[in-house]
Amino acid sequence: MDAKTFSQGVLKIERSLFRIAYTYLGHEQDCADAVQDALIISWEKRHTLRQPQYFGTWLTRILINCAKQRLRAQRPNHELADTYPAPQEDTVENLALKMALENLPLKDRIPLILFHLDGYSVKEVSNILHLPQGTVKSRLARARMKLKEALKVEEVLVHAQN
Amino acid sequence: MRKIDLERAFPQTPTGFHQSVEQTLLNLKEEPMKKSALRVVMLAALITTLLAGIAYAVIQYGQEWYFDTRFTNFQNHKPEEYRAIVDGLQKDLPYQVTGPATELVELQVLDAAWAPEKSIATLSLLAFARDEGGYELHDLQEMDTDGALVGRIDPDDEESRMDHWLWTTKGFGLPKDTMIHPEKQLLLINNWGEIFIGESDTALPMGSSDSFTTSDGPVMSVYMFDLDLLDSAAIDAMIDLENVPEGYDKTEYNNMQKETLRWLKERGAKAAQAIIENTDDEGFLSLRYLFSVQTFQDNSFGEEIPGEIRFKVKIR
Repeated sequence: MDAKTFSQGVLKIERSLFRIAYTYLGHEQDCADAVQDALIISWEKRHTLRQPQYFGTWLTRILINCAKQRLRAQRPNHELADTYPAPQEDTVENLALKMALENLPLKDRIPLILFHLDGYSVKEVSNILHLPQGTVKSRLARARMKLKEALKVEEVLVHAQN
Repeated sequence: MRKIDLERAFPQTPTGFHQSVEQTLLNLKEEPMKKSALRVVMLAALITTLLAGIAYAVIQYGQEWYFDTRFTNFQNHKPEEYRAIVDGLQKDLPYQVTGPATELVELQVLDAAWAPEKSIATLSLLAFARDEGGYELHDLQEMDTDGALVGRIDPDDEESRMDHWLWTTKGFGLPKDTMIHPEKQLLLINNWGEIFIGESDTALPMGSSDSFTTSDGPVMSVYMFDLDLLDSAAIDAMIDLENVPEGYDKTEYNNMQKETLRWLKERGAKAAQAIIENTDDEGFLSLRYLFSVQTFQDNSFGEEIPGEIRFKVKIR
């Protein structure tokens, strides 16, 4: 994989990378730093990617590791809440959704985002998070239920198209 | 019912984030990015210690021990490769460790194997805390192995926590509870790196690596290299151009695979050339490896302190 192909692959999923980093870290600069770490590591280790169709899952996995590394380095009382930016449109509805999503445990929120927003399959989510597919399914179900309860509306989540 | 659009919960991608990505990618094109190369720059105060032959080694550790105790599946599933490794093990290899990290840890090359007939090469390293009375050394990857560490406590998730947990033979929990000697200071070694050929920034093609804290205290790391990635014909056999995965356009997929092939071959040829250039008349290949250590106290990590080990492996 040359730099051009690598860059195209990254830019194609840039939004997804931001969402994942944001979900773990919240702060814009931390997100940028984690993604930069992930890009450097993945570029150095690109020979380990044998099948290019897995570029997204592979890079996402590396990003999650980098985000966790950054979490480790943060002080125990590092407060992120104030640094969370508002949704795209600062409506009551969007803020309620943002709050409901942030109130989900991280372990449920990440599979939800990967599956419903980024369009990864259950199998791919299981590969990214190193979790059995059954665990991914149960976390997805729990997250969906909690989200619907929190929003108190009859809404449905559909699997995003990758 | 209507669809919940989760996207609405997220802010727009910040301009600064996008610029950071673009800048990183741009640098990628201009020169091969080597985070490790940056670390080399940090080696301002090099402390050179010749450790070859130091009578400190715990002799029972090595790849024979490793395969017999930790990775016993290998001999069952790949018996020919296993025999090639253990029959060709090179011990007492010359090596040199430098960098500020040497003040805190002693790193040893235990043994290595170079078995091109089975397309495999291996290396094992062992790290000790220099001040074993003052420090307890663990592998960094043994921190927070469960993924429950979060940036802020989630009241709805009883597993979420902001304290770092360490996995040891005593269990998994706060380091003060799981360290073998909690009165010592915790020292962590980061062995997640590549093995570079000579002074080049070309790495040996890594197949897998494993790093862990042994029950006696030292941290052992074992690396396996896929020598097929040095061979153009073998690379051809790895890439499947015929079976197109579902949802892919055949032409597009083939182009991607061909690009991967081209890149793998280019990288393989570069590594193969670097091996030739860095092998001496006696058949010893020069290699180097970058690592780092950091202390951990009061739930915080200390500064990352770099180190480097240079060694030679006989390849012919």
